[in-house]
Amino acid sequence: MAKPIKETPFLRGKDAKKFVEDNKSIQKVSKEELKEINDNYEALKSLADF
Amino acid sequence: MRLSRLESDTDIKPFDCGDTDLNGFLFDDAKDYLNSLLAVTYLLTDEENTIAYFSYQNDKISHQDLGNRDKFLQRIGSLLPKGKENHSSYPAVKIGRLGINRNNQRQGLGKRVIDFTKIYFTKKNKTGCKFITVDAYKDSVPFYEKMGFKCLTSRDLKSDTRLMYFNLEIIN
Repeated sequence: MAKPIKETPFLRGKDAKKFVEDNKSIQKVSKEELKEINDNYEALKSLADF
Repeated sequence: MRLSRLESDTDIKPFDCGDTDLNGFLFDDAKDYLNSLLAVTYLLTDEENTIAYFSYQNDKISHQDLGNRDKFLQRIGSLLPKGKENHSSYPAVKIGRLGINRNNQRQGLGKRVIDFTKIYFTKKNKTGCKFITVDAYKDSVPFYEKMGFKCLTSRDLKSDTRLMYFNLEIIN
């Protein structure tokens, strides 16, 4: 049996503070990066049977 | 190639990513996770082999509320019984496992799966989802960092896997 998938812990103290700080201001990806992400999505989606 | 959902009766084609534990998850555990409604696994296959697989499960990121109105509670939060602190929660999807066949590594497939996940759970999602989390094997941490993921906690520094997250607002 493989290692179980680890559960995400409740964040407290320093971990909570760092998480909130890191997500206060979000830098969006550039148009070029977004296009690449979309292209990769479409490439896999085109192979999907769901 | 074909991307399909693993079902209970799926005949899993040969796969070897070079990691015994990741191989073991696919062949020994993925169907149990499916049947227990804990995770759904997707298979990228060709005529003969499993090229890659990845498993999704619902997740959430919760943290102590650090807002101004809760400064007092924040200070005494550690004194409260667990679960009684004010907190904030965000819906997430977890990539529980991701493996690429040895012969197909270093071809950009891992990035393609991550990018697929980013769009699938923002633009094509049926429910709200703000974060992708991943239970990353230590060797894969640099890969996920390159994909924009950050470590969630310092408590798993010495563990075999590290919990990481990606904020989907970045691409929304």
